[in-house]
Amino acid sequence: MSEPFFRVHSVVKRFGGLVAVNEVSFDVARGEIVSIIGPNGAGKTTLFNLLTGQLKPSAGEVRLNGNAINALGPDQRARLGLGRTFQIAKPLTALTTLENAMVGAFLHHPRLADAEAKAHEVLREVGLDGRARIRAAELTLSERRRLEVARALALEPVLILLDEVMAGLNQSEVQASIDLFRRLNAAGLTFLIIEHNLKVVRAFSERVIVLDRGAKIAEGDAEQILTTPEVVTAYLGKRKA
Amino acid sequence: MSPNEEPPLIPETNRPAGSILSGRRTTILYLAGLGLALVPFLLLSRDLFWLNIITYTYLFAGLAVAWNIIAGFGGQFSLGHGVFFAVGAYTTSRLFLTWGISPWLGILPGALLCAVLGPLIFLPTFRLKGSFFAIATLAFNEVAFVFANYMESLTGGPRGLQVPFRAAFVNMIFADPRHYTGLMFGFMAIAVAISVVLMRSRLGYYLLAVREDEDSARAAGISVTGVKLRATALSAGLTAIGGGLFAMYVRTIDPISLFTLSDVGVKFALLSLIGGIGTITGPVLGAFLIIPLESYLRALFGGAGPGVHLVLLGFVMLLAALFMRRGVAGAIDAMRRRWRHRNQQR
Repeated sequence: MSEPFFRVHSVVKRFGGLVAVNEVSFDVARGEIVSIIGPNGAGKTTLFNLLTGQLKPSAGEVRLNGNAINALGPDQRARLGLGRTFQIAKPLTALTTLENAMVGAFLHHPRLADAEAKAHEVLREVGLDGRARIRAAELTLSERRRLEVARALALEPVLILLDEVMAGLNQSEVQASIDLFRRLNAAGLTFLIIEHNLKVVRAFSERVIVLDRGAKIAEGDAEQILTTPEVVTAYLGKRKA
Repeated sequence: MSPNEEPPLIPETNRPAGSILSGRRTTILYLAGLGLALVPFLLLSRDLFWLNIITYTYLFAGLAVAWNIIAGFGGQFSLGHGVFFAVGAYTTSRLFLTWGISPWLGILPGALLCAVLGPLIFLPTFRLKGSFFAIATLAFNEVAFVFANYMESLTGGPRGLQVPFRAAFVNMIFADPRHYTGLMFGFMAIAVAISVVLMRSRLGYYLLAVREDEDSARAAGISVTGVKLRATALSAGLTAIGGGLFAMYVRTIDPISLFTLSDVGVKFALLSLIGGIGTITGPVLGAFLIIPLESYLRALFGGAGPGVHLVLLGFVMLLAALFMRRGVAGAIDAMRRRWRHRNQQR
């Protein structure tokens, strides 16, 4: 059996005595859309930081396309095709929207003109091309989120990690984002997302992984998972989803 | 924001670097600006007192632009660039004095040496954030000062090095002081040109990204340390060249004149801050404002008491810090935007 596209194997992260991520394992197949959900403090963002390389695991392994990427830093992983967005959108405020996208585009397009062309392309993809010359500081929250996605797209990733990319968006913005991600997924991009918004999780994910207190407590089809008693209790208390 | 993060030393520059820099129109603007910078030279070339000031102004403008590469665009607030300045000065003088090597060539070894030395000493220091980085670079300056005093065979010790007046183009020693002015103007123009080319390149964009947010930069595939080191090499090398030119202008260099922070290492920072850090024109504007002002105040009040002119200069800098946080360039930029905004509302 060939190795899965993205493999997370028994990953552990300890901060002193605290085990933030406790032997989490899962696979993501190429072209899949997988969501990671869990209550606050479950370790989702820590897990994400382990996957993107910002943190090194205390134990366990992360493999992308058959390559062990444990020892690689975030920039090296980005070069291998791992894109990510941040929970708090951090555009480079001294630059324009276009220039922000160019920063990502430069990775595979070292010449200025090529990077600019690529940047326009990804901005069109996320619907921000009309705001290309605006200073990034003046963008709205939803636009900043889209710029984050654009910058990650400019890296021409094979796998994209989205960290609560829907937080703070209104319904139409959420729908527009889902449409965008579906388009990108149809073009072959694999998604691994952290998400609190269960409507989004239902609408957009194929598979859901549930974390609680650092450990994986459930994994499976979206609809099925969201009605599992353990998940409901852990995540939602005694209220219904 | 992590609890250990302190506010950045460098105020956020609203100027979108790329959009200002790209395009033929802005290239023409820069050329026009350089032409404008020549005007004082043309007007005052007969007055030796002012000619000297203009020469220093051009030199320090170039040095401030060089400093700004790693400090303004890169966000690494160095107060140790005096080291590179001094290495350039000593290397150029030594090569000329001992082996008769023309300074036109002699400035290069100093530049290359600093292009290696700079990254070497900055690499471990990059771990420090904000003010701590600045303080560590201050320490380099002090260590180099002691070194320069001690290594008599190399640097002439406390007495320093004196270059005899043997006027010849190949010696970079000119009988006509206006030729020095032209030399320094050339240095400034080259420094500005290098900055412009840099900020229109991938390294320039990466540098800004690193300054703004290192985590985001890494997520974009940028090797943060690699970018900082390359910018340091460029900045240090250029500063060393300025030091070499300085040595051939004053023809007498010693540790005091090279390492006194308020005259050299810190001055690069001050000029850039006042003019507008993180911009191309800022350091130049800062130099054009402060150097003549300082020299004029020194001439006017130097007799009144030791350091009176420094007090007045300090006062000017205080005013700038209070009312022009983004420097002269930032203030001009803000006025331009307000004017444009008012026009849009009509």
